[in-house]
Amino acid sequence: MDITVKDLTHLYNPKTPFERIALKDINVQIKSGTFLSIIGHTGSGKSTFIQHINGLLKPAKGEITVGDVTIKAGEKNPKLTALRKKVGLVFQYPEHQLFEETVEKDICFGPMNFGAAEEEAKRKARDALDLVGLPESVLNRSPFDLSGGQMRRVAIAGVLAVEPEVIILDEPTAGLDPVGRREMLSLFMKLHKQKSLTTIMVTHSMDDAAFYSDEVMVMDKGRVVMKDKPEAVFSHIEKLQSLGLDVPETIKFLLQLDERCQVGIGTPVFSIPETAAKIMEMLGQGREKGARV
Amino acid sequence: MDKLIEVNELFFRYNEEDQWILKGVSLFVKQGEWLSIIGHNGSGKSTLAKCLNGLLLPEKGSVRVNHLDTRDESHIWDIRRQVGMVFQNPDNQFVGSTVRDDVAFGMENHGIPREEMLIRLDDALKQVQMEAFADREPHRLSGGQKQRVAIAGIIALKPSIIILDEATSMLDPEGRSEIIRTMRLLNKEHGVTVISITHDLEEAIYSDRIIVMNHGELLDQGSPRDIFKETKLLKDIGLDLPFTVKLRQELQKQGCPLSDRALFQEELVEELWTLRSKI
Ligand SMILES: Nc1ncnc2c1ncn2[C@@H]1O[C@H](COP(=O)(O)OP(=O)(O)O)[C@@H](O)[C@H]1O
Ligand SMILES: Nc1ncnc2c1ncn2[C@@H]1O[C@H](COP(=O)(O)OP(=O)(O)O)[C@@H](O)[C@H]1O
Ligand SMILES: [Mg+2]
Ligand SMILES: [Mg+2]
Repeated sequence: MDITVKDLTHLYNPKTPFERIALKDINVQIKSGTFLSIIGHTGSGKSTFIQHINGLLKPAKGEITVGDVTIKAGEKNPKLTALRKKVGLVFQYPEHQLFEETVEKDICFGPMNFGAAEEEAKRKARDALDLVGLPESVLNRSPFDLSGGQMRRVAIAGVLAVEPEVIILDEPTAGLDPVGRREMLSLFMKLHKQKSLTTIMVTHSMDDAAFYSDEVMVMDKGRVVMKDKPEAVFSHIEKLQSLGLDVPETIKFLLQLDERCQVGIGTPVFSIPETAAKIMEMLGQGREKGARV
Repeated sequence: MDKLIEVNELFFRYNEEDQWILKGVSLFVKQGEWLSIIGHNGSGKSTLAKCLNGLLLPEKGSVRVNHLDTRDESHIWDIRRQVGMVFQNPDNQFVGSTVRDDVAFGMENHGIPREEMLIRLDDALKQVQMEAFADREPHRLSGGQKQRVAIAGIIALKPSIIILDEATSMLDPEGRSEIIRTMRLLNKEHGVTVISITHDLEEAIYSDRIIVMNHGELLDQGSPRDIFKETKLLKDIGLDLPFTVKLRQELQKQGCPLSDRALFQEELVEELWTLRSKI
């Protein structure tokens, strides 16, 4: 589902002494089927931005189009229900928002809220549970008896049960251990492909942004500073560092190697096998040059 | 070598009907060291940490802090003062309505006289670089600032040991490095012993020692270099390896004649440089 954001500006507490510009003149296009990561400092506006895409926040200026739904600033009675059905938002620490006494009721809440009958909602709940890799046996348990990682999966199942076409994840791996992180990310990759979703992920991990995304968007002080393929974004190392952002571990290593051996780093790569291959190539090049001299 | 904490054959479970959560753990903590504890979720790290400051008591075996047994009720306040804990969630640790009140609260509980309290308060806030925030409301601070206030509350009690229980895992990269920087300073300049429970291996490689927990047992302990030599052992229990180790192994796999030594990026860079100049 294509997403187009035009001249989006957002103000918190407008017309009060506490007025604050959180987003300023944002213009972005996200093509259907893209896996987009958003990076930027805390306070740069990432959460504010994504909440516009499912209509939780309304623009002070500009417009947002998702598929055939457009939300305009100042418009009365916008088509929020239609938008929220298409765009599923998984908040940071979504497990903090579970509230029903059973897992089944919690997952059914979304579909029923959008008009599904109870039986249909229960069927969707089973499908969603399967997608996030939890057994049906947890359906009748209290979400609060589950482990942290399982609770997060239940919360995600609740969003998936509505069958959105766009899924937005606000720091989905925060607070998980490395195994949990890897499982969570491969779950989103699988869903992205299997369901042909458009996925937008806010993350502080440069490694994850570089490795999983088709495109990376960089935010700073409420503006979009860059939006491009990971290889292009992570070529602007000085720019990123001036924004107080890090670069992926693989690039950090290649930079150090370059400083010592003056080999250059070439096109950025983000996986360990690719990095090793690149280093092998550099060593080989050394040999060739040596032979020629 | 001065052993600040000695744990001997510690068995613990939350209920008598349940299985053991800690199964005969023995370890020691040396004065002034930075000790990391790694292991996946549910392996018993937090339970162990709470045993170290007497929040939980052993059912069998013993925990001694500065030679004081945690089961000896007459020493429990002293032990808790000596072993401070910073938890994962920065939002759940505040009681005061200002940063100043919050740091003072712990000292009041420990009956520190007012004049002394004021001196320590300034001192503690300075050490975590939060003196400019003394009159702010804790809940309005960033995650990293909140954790630093929590640390100030602990150092005001002049502890021997600070335990970080995944204290940086909910913070952004900036908050994370604020905390690590603060703790390194306390460790190096003020001799505070640090026990850091962490999933961040790039942090753990800088510790003096590492303990690996698995299913309630102490699986391995040693210097970072020794621990990350046992790559098979760690992989078997589903733990990750530091970046440099992973890259080094991949290079070896692709036929690069490297030693098994490199743990830090600089070391691998040096080896590659040597290789290159030999070619
Ligand atoms: N509910 C709110 N009321 C007032 N200001 C807010 C609110 N939420 C966020 N802000 C401010 O808007 C800016 C952007 O915040 P946010 O979108 O949460 O950033 P990020 O997700 O990148 O950390 C920050 O300066 C933040 O303090
Ligand atoms: N308050 C508690 N009551 C009962 N069981 C608990 C409690 N806290 C932790 N456990 C159990 O003890 C085991 C170890 O947990 P924990 O010490 O928190 O591990 P870690 O910190 O390594 O993730 C887990 O199986 C967990 O479910
Ligand atoms: Mg945010
Ligand atoms: Mg724990």
